[in-house]
Amino acid sequence: MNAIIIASLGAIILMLTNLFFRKRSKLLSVFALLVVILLIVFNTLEGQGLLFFYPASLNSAFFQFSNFTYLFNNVLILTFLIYILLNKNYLLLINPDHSADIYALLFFVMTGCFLLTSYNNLLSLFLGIEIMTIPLYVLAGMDKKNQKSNEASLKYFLLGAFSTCILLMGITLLYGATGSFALNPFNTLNTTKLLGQVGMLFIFFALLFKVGVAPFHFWVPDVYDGTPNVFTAFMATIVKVVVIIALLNFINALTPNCIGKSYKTIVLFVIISTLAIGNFSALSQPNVKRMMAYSSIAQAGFMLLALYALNDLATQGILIYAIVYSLSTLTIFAILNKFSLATFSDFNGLAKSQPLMACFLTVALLSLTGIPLTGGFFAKYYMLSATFFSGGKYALPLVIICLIFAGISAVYYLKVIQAMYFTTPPVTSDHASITIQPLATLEKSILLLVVIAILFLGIFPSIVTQWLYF
Amino acid sequence: MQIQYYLYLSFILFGIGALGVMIRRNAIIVFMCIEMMLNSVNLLLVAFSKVQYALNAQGIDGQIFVFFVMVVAAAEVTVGLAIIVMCYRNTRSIDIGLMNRIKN
Repeated sequence: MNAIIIASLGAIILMLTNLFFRKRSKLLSVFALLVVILLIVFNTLEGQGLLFFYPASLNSAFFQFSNFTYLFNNVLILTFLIYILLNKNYLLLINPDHSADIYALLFFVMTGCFLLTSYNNLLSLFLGIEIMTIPLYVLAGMDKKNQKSNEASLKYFLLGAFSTCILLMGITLLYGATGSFALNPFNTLNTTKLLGQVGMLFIFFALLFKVGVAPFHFWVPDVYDGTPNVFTAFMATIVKVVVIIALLNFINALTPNCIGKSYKTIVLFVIISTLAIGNFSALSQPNVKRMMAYSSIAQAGFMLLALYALNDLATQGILIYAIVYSLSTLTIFAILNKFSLATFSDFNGLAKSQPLMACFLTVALLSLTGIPLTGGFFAKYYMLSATFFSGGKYALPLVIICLIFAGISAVYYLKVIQAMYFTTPPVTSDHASITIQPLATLEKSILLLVVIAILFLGIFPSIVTQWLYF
Repeated sequence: MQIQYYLYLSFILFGIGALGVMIRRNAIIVFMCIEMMLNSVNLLLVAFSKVQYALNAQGIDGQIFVFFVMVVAAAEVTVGLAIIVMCYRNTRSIDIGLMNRIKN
């Protein structure tokens, strides 16, 4: 609760102070970082039982707070902190007159994210989704003069609003069947009526649409490609992960008899088609940013394994997966910021000219592939073992299929590494036009910490999961 | 009056809206279709709310939800129209069929 209130207050203050911050952009970043640190402190304190804003019992008709909620909120806030530290110069460059507004919109998105990790009512789910996505439509179009950014914004808006309609239809049908918006398995959601079943399916599909997985993935590449780099990094990490957690909360609240047998079949179809489309399309992309868009679809497919397994191991797995995936993707996008147009040939010989940058990028890419000794290995290991132990006759084939697709994903991740280390840049006048800015000192130190964290999680993953039980 | 009629009406409105989103190419018309889908949901919410009230005398949740939907729809209109105007300024067109510059 503290996190929701502080994030929204920070956003409102930032929105009102654009005039004050316009000439003092350094102060703006400091203020935003201050709010983020307040968020961490207050969220942790609330997890320990210290409340500041909400006198009555925490678990009301609208919100449900658990250990997992606090832990996941902290993960989100830490990711956001790293995101701001890595991108703060670029956030100021995109639209210099409105940089305070950009921060305000980012904090509004965070408010929506905190609603989505703790909702206990379909009304809070709907509001959380909307508070999260409406600022994102604006952020996607923040580069006003750039036609690609405009187009991404318009596409994102029209398709996002369409999926919101489907979500609302689902909520309404579920309300018609049960007579309540509460997400409590013991009184309302145990419906087996057709109306309620169709409603659940609509909500499920609308949330899959927001995540951007296979039958509903078509907006992802265009939107991620057109959006300015800094906001793509935000959309691909925090937002994507949060919607998957919201989906997991929703499915966990349903009773087994109302989920029905067909649920696992649907999820199976979604996972396999997501992995297939994401991986095969990523293979043939000329541009690293577009490849990252498809790779994020494929990684979301792995995260959806938690929806198939639905056990404790899957909860731990999604937590590790969220952390490792966010850290790796943020690292890659922080480095992509340095390129004007990141085609594969731009990376030729990067290991010679920028050895540290190449090293960071290598660790992040290996982690996304799932090579042992990086966090990505344990993330995938947890998800696959959760799937395996969930039982059912499709569990083992699903694990094998996922492993094959993880192998295929290595091809396009290693293509970048191969370009960096084993290809020499062509010595032509064409090469001189490609300018790669070096990393700033702050970015270097933050990236170093992030890479150490990724490697550390590859050796001791339990350091995170143990917090679930205290 | 029976609830089925409300269900049919709102499904038909929702279907027309969804069809419009898929086949029309003018951003404003697509946007209007989305608004129509939202309003069909509002109609259904009010109808269900009335049914719940008749059943157990406690069911105005649906009607309250409608207010939230209206507020969110208003916020979406603000953002959406601003985005469409921004696109129009740069390209002098709001045809979403022409918008495939990203791939090239």
